[in-house]
Amino acid sequence: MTALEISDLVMRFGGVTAVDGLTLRHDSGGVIGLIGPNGAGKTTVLNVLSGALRPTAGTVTLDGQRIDGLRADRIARLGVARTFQNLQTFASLTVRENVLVPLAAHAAARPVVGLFTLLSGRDAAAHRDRADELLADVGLLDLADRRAGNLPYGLQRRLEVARALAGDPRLLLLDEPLAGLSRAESADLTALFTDVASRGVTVLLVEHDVASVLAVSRRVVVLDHGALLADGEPAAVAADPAVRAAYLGELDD
Amino acid sequence: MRRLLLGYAIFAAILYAIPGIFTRVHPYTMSDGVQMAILAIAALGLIPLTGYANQISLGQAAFYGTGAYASAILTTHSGWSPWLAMLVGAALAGGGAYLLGLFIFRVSGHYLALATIALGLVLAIVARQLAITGGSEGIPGVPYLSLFGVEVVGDVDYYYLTATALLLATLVVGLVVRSSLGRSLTAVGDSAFAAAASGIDIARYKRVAFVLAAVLAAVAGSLYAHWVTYIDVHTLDLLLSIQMLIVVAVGGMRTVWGAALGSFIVVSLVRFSKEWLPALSEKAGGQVEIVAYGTALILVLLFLPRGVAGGFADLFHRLRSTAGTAREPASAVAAAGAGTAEAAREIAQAGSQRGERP
Repeated sequence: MTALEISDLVMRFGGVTAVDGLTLRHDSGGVIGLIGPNGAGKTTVLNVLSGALRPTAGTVTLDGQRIDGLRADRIARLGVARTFQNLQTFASLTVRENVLVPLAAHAAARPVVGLFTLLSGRDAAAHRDRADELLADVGLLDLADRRAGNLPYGLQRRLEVARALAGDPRLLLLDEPLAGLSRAESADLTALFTDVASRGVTVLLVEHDVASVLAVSRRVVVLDHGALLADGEPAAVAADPAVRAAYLGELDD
Repeated sequence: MRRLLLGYAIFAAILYAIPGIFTRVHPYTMSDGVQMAILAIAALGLIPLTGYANQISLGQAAFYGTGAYASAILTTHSGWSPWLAMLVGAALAGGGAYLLGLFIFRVSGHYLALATIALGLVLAIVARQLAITGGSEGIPGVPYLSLFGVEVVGDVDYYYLTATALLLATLVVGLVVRSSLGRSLTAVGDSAFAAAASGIDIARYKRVAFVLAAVLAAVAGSLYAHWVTYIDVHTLDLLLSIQMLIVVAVGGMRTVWGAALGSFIVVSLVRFSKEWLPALSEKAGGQVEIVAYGTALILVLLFLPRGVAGGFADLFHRLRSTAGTAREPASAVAAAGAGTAEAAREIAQAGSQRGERP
């Protein structure tokens, strides 16, 4: 199981404090739901964990290794993958190529050997097989040769998940992966998340659809104004009056 | 793969047919052919760099000039073989681009455009001042290139040489953009965020593309020096850098043929406006030529935003998708995988939108 440890994390943008002293330890795997009202700092936490942002203060360790402040691609190669709230597929590549990109990047990290690998396409066949496997997992295999930018929204979301899984992550960060999906699509994807988590990957799920989060998570963390509001088992968190107040009854849906 | 080979075969056939056409069709001359080939080589590196990785460089002339000056200085002052001088010029440009890239690509944004403008300006000032670069007079007496002991002098022969160089360079760039390196560059250009999150060292990939562009520009500059046998600071000019960007913008940045096609169009425009504008009005001198050339450029960019090659590709796709519209939605339904009808409808919609795109 991957041990994630966030200590006293602070992220300020000018005068705005987006994350305010967050401390979180998790070493039992599974899906952790990260919820909170708009502006609670959920995406900022993901951005810090994935290296898109350098935290103002605090530390993040993954299995004992500090990753805060490292470059995003190094963090990715250490086993942290993510999806994005606003779609960030590689629009001009095909669906399969989208998944091949991280596969090649992880293989080509070494300076000289890497460049050789890149140009020779030595691992091409193995990568292709792996990419097709991942695409099959998210139900996109038949669209593998389509241009990613031409896919409808929901399918691009699935593609982001497949791409994130290509790096064989230890920690998978999902930023609203269910937004805009139909109920059936949501159910498919959440089943996939549970499956991924059962294979030993720690999944940090940020999601507006609170019902889905409560259903799929082993542990739910609630942020409000960048600080921890509640933390515990889904049922306990859902019953917490402070959480209900912060959401103004959204949980009744 | 077969289609790619066919592409290169057609490209080679066109390249080698040009002397037969340009020596017969007014107002072309073989000197236009040489110019086209050299300009295409110089601009070619912008396809992976700008077209794929989305990085705008206004310093191609700085590297072009580096190649030209390296050739001129090493052959006239030190008596080196032109080929060796060309190699050194390419290495200098590549090394310079690598060093510059170490600093520029650490930050995101359009710093590359600014930094490369500055590089060109600085090099031009230096070249004007130093004795070894001949100051503003430049360097005369650059020797011709020799091939198997024979000097390549005439425009027709020199055209064959430069066209072959262009063919090889296009092949190299073609291999790069089709490799997983090219795929990663596309990823960087499409979404730098997602590329980094996928484990791509963005700065390193941009640097590789930048170095490749610099090396090709230097080779082109060197070819130019050994053709005209006289060079000056104009080889470092910012306008030349802009012209190279225009070449790939007009030709098409997302295809290896874009540089050759673009340089054919740009050099032709210059030739035609020089030839015919004075006939329309006696007062029309060099200034009107620039206006005509600029207008033509704006028209291309307005109506063919992906360049002429991109325009052809769109036309081809449109023809093909009108021929096969019946099949598309059907395959999409099968493809929906987990299979909600909703998803299939969405795909069908996306498919038809793509077909209708202008």
